Amino acid sequence: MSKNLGELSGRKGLRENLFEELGIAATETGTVSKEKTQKLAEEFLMGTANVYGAVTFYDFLRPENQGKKVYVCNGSSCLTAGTQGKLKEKLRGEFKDEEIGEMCCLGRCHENSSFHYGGRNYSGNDIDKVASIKAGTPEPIDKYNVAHVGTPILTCDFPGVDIFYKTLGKAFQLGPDALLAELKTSGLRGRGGAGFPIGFKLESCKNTPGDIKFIVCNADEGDPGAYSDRYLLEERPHAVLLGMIIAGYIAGANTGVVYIRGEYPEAIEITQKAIDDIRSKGFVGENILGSGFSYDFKLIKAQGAYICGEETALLSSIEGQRPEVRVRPPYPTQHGLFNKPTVVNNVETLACIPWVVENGGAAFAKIGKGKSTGTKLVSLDGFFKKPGIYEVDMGTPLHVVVDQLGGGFREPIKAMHIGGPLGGLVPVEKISDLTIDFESFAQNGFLLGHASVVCLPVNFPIIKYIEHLFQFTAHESCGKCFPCRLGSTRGYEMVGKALTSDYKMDRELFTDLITTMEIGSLCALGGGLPLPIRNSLKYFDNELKEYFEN
Amino acid sequence: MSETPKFKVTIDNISIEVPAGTTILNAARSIGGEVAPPAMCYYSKLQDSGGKCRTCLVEVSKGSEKDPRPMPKLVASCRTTVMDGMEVKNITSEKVIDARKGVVEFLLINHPLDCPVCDQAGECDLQDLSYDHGTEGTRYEFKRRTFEKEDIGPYISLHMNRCIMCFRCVFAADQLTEKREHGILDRGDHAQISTYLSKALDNDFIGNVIDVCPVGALTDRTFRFKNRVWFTKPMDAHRNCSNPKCCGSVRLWMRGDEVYRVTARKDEWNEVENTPDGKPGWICNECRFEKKETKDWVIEGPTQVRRSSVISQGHYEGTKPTPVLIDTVMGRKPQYTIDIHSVSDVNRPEVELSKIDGPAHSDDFKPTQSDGGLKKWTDKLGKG
Repeated sequence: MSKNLGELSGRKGLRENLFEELGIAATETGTVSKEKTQKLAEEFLMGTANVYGAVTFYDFLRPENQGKKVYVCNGSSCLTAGTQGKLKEKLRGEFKDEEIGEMCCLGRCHENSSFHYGGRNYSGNDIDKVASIKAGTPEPIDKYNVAHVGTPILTCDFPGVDIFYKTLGKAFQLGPDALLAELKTSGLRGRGGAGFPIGFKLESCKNTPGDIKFIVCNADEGDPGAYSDRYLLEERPHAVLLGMIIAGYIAGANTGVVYIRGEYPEAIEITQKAIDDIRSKGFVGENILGSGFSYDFKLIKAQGAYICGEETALLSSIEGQRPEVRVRPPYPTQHGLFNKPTVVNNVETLACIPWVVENGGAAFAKIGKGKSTGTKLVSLDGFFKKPGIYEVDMGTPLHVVVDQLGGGFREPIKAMHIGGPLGGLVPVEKISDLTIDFESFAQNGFLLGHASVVCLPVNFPIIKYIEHLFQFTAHESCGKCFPCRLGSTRGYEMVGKALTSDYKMDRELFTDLITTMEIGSLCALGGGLPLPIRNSLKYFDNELKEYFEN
Repeated sequence: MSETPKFKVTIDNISIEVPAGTTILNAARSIGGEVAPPAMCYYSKLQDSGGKCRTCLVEVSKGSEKDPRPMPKLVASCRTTVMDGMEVKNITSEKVIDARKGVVEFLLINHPLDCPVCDQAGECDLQDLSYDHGTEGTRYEFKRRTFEKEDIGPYISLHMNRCIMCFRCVFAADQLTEKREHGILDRGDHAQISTYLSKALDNDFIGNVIDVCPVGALTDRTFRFKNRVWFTKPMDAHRNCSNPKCCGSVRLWMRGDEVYRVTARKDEWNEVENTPDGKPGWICNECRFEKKETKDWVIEGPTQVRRSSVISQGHYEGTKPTPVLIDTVMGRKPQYTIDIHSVSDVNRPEVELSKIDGPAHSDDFKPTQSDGGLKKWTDKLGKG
């Protein structure tokens, strides 16, 4: 089915895109009308059930979204910060209950109290001005700390478009083969979580025959607590775009798709403007700088589904299908978007490419530690004295990030959830054991992931956090593979019951549940959730044992 | 075109050579018996199916001759292709048995377990899977998700409560029929199979979704509550169907001269059999739902039913002999070595259903004085 539908959707290419049309159709009321569903199904030959099936998958398209005007962030950071109850109370003064919806992580983890209204995100003290915001005076975009320790690859000053894009000329001089060799030398690995070397992906795509190929930038930064991709899209969009053009040049792809989550409206606007800028300057389009290479961008706004951060689900999403994780093989580099060879990479990974081209792969490989080369952006949440986005060389001790960059904690903290909802739960006493790189985290039983840090204050019950993680996974599971779909819901129910009644969980049953999810799940969502839960059981058993019968 | 190279693969200590590109599951199926992992979502005749149910997970203990490293995680055998020299553990891997047990337990959490009133009982993949890999009791006491029963058109009834979300019917509807009106709505545990806005499905081949459904979620309304499958006798038959896409070769489920139900012919994996020209033998709605008289069909003879199947309890002549591969697997008797007559007290080889007047009753299976009474019967069971 999916292959077939992928081809059908690709018939119109990206110029007219079903997924985009669905988003537009839902702007007014919050959902897609039956008539419009029917019409689009006919237009794209996809069938009513498939189009309606896709509509009901997304938070911002499904019928339940109708009439929602303001959205409260329910991400991990806003949860542990405990700001959302008060926020909701204040919003109730301005909005009816049925007009208030939820969004998962607006990327305002540095000051929390986050909400979304009228295509803009707000946080911190903005809630006190909600009346004027509602009346039509938007507040300016948020500010947070940005600094680095080591080499500033991503956080360095931006020299201006004309100077920055000189790297493109250099890339054209080097040619695709030499560029690929540089990238392989650099050891640059995917920053989205899996850490797969980008050189291999580009090479595989390059070697797959085909006239039409795609570079897709995965800017669906759904991990609650992470906002480093948002930083790049809003503050350094050209690093990302130039990285995509060069990646396209290497792989022989002429189209770059930037898939940005709908929860980041400012990032969408700024990136679109950046694309328009370079188009007017001739850095994208036909025969760029006389090189014979043509390239253009398509920006796609996502509609609220965490699973779209998984690369194969993301591709199905762009095709207007239900974004369910695909079974690999075949890999996207062979059968990707519309069945064409496609390289999907995270924002931060792509943003490193211009630096590698400018300074050489060897220079990049020199930074970092072992197989983790280059730098990493770390997102620190509002529990730090100096929250913000920090760039550190791979291998930098975690305590440097916590104490030196973050300035320590505002209040006593017992654990840090690092690397998104599927990352490990690091108890504070382990801080001194860890360095910011893939290997150190893996060896200690954690996961570097996106290197976002969400703090759990001493008075925040771990069991509540486990409930939150199960709830998150149950809500976001695509439902394709059985262990994730069923396990997350059961886990949520079990923990919820233990929290609200005198029910005690059977420890064996609970561990069997997470084991089945871990070994049985198709993708990292169901397979990854058990990690922070196992960490909790290991490090916080004292606190948790009262919820178990044995 | 050069010939496809052959790869040697060893599954549960049994070696076989298969063409490159074959999946582990299909290689295991060509060995047969219990070496073949169960598959609840994979269906070889439906493109893109598989990968979801995770019941076919196997352990790859040796990747290939060239790269002998074991695979770090269990893999879905339906979507993983064999490599030369690969070694796979299915029922000989404790990890696999454990994982399967976990998945079966999850599957039964939502399942209503209404087998006594379900038309699929007796030919249900989930029943078989649960017998083989499930536990006796449930450890989860939570509300099951429930839906209203829905009739999708005049012929098909949809019980979402029983659905395990294998998506086979969606693939079938998509690939066999022209309109795409049958699909999946919502996501995660809220996801359900439905038609676009509860529309009746009306298409010549839509009846095939019943045959691909591994559970009783999609059942034949024309057969609803008419009989239990094990009280009917399957017969292979054909007719000259005017629909060019219909193969016309079917299985009639009969009692005496009465045709209770018509289905496609299924193979030992419970999939629609291929016709002699190598194409899947899908049948049209007319053959399935409208031709319920013996005179509509040319009857070829009784279907060969596996001895271990509950359907063979009517003691039909020509049942397939039981293939015995291994006597015990980790202390457990493989299903193929079990003769249903020795484990179930409603199945007696000497009772032939076709000879019973009217509907069969449990009394018909009770031991009588003439064959030695209850004592002899229970002794016999004890020895079973």
